Amino acid sequence: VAILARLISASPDGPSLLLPVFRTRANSNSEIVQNISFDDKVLGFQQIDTNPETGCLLDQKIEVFVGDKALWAFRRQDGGVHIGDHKSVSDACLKAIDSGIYKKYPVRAAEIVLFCRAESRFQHILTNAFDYLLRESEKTAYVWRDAAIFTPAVKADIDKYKFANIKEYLESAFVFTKGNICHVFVHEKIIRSIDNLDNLKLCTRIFGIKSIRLHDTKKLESHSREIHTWSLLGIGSIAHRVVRRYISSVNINTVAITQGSNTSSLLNDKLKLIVGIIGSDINHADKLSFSWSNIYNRNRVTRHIINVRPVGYGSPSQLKSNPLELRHAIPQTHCMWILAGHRLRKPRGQFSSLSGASLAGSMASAATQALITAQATESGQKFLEHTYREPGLGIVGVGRFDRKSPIENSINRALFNASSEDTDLKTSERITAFVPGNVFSGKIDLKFGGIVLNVNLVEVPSDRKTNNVVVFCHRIANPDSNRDRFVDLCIRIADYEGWSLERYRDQFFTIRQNTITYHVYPLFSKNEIGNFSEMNSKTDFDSIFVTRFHVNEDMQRFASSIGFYIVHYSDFASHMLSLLQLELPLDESGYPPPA
Amino acid sequence: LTNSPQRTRRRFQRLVSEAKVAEPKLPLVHTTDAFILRDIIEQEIIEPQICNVFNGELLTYFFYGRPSFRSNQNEDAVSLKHYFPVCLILRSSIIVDIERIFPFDSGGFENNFYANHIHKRMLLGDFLLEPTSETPGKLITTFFGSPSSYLRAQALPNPNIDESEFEAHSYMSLINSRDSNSIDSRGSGVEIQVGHGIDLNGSVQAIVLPSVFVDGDVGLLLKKLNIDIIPYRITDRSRPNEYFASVTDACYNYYTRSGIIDLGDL
Repeated sequence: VAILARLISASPDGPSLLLPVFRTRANSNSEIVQNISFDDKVLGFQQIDTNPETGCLLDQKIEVFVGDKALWAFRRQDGGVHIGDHKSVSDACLKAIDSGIYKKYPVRAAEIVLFCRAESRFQHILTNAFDYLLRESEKTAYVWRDAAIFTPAVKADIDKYKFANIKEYLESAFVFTKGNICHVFVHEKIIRSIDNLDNLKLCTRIFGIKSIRLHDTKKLESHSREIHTWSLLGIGSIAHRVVRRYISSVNINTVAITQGSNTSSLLNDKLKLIVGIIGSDINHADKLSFSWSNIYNRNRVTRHIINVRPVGYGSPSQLKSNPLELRHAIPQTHCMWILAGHRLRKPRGQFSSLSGASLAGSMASAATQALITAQATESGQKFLEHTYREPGLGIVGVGRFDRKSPIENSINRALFNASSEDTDLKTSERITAFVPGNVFSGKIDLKFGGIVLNVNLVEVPSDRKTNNVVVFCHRIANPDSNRDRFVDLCIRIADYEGWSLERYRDQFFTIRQNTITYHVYPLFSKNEIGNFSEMNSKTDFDSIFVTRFHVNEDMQRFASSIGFYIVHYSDFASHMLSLLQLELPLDESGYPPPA
Repeated sequence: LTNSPQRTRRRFQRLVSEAKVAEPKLPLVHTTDAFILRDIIEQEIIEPQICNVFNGELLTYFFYGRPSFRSNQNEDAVSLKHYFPVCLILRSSIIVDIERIFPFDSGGFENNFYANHIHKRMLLGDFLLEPTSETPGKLITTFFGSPSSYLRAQALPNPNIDESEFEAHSYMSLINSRDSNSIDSRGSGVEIQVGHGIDLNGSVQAIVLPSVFVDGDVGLLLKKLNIDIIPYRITDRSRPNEYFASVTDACYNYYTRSGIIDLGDL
């Protein structure tokens, strides 16, 4: 015998069916619940571990024996509880339905109707609950209808046939409604034997589903196929900042992989995409090369590397591999994109090294997103096809998108961020820009640093939320650290900050903004500074050394002694801005005018 | 790893690590009960719990794709997780560091539930897998063939594994059994342990929960968090294993509607 001890509800309030919990003796600590047969008899009891404080206790003593009708309980909206067999509890439930509880609790009401097996009488309660869930989300409503109504209905139909392996057949049955057809996946023996699906037919009819189709459950296994269209791999701290958005991984020196799909119907041709993100460690390149060699072996695939150049702003390290060495280490690469925009402006403040890594991570993330987005549009796919057919080295730049100004300004910002000390974007064979909100493909001519560039625009689907413009400058001349490129970079930084080039000499160039003029001396190599040792001391500080190297105290002292400022190129822009603010006349409010 | 001083074997780990990763990647599932759900939603975090199996470490448990849960000490007892299970379906990307991965519920092993399938000298550590996000996909390739078969607990009939791979053969016996583990199929659900809590914001795709919650306060809270609600009936069956079957049905349907599982041309 089992003595009813308490009733547990899944929900703290409102009308609800309750779970009766029993004890074997009145003072027993051990609690049990009923095992109930399909014809509603108590088959036996099963021990249950619950928090003893859960649920409501009862005054009345109710006993249940094995073989009795099962005991059910229902809590009404007013908190009163009805306990009894299935029929008496069903009656109490249906009274509650008649009293209108479904208006406040549409889904519970549907559940109660299903419990009472009163679907025919209360069809509107079921459709009302479905409509309520539909307002929440389509997925919620359709999953609920399939899993909570149609699946139990078909299982009840199968259960009527006393098959030998009934448990297995019931477990494997699966229902999925698509459009106006209810697809039922069952064991092939059931397809052959069953000729009556009355329960399911009744339920599908309520929802206007006109057709039921039976399939062998084997079909569920045979249709599991590779659906990813892109893979993203990353190794090293910056890469992990990007990949971590999608994936977990143990340590930054292992390759983290994530995959996803673009659901565009344009993907029939299946040019798959792999994007790898690495820094400048040749060992990382080897590991990445090994990891991606096994992905999409059976498909056409375009493989891209985003090479994030070092975050440090000091002297170029001999230990870091250059992009050509890295590309050589990953021979299957179609395109390697050099990302160095984070090196152009040194972040300030206490956490500057962290900000540098963070900026590099954001830029790498935006570049990755652009490549993935390319799969979803026609012009984007053309871009990927182009990279597949014409492999090469490129540079990538990322800039904040300003919706209020012409898109040329935003593209210019991204192009500026594509600049670096050892590359020349003017040599690019093809420049492609991804601009948010741009729904057309096409070409524009753009003035950039005194030249006109032809830029291909790729449309970006409106559902891709991004605030970044990304430009890919494909097939550039090989990176090379030389003085001309470094001077070019310094001029470009000045130009970007609004300084126009006045004069260009061997050793220096002159820039001007409003009435203010400065001479800029790019120092490509460390020993160049020695050329100025004979120079007489000046006091007007109208000249600036711009270096590629860490500026130490000796260099600072020497520059100061001859009346020069000296800065690393990553400090050049902010330095010029501060000089400008110092020199411009104050406006009426006492502040310098904005630069 | 366990209390045993014996060295653990790495055969099983090596076998799995050599496999290709089965695609697509499945979400992670954290199972709790309806009462704890309320705390999780209000605090917006899944808190790690002290684990007795792993020397009192604070751990959060997930199962790969499958609605399953850690076993009780008492094999015979069911709990409210059986009657009112709540499954949080999480994006697999949310986990930063994986502590451990096992091919089954490690609590079930420690409680000796798999004794019919696993040799008594085998240790839990013999089944420890590489703690990377690729591992569950590799295990699926090795023993199930596809994520769809894994979700439906349909092991490969003949995975062609050398007879000397003792742990693998024990595991095959376990996942092919249809007896003691049918209650929630935890014997073949890949367990993932992490040593930190999980912030609910942005990490939970959906919650499978008893339908009574949908039109109550919990439903409103979930709506605010932009989480898909997948309700299941708590009254359609009267045995605990059938409740879990309802949850599994709902999960599989949700994965199919979300494009994770492909049914081909219907």
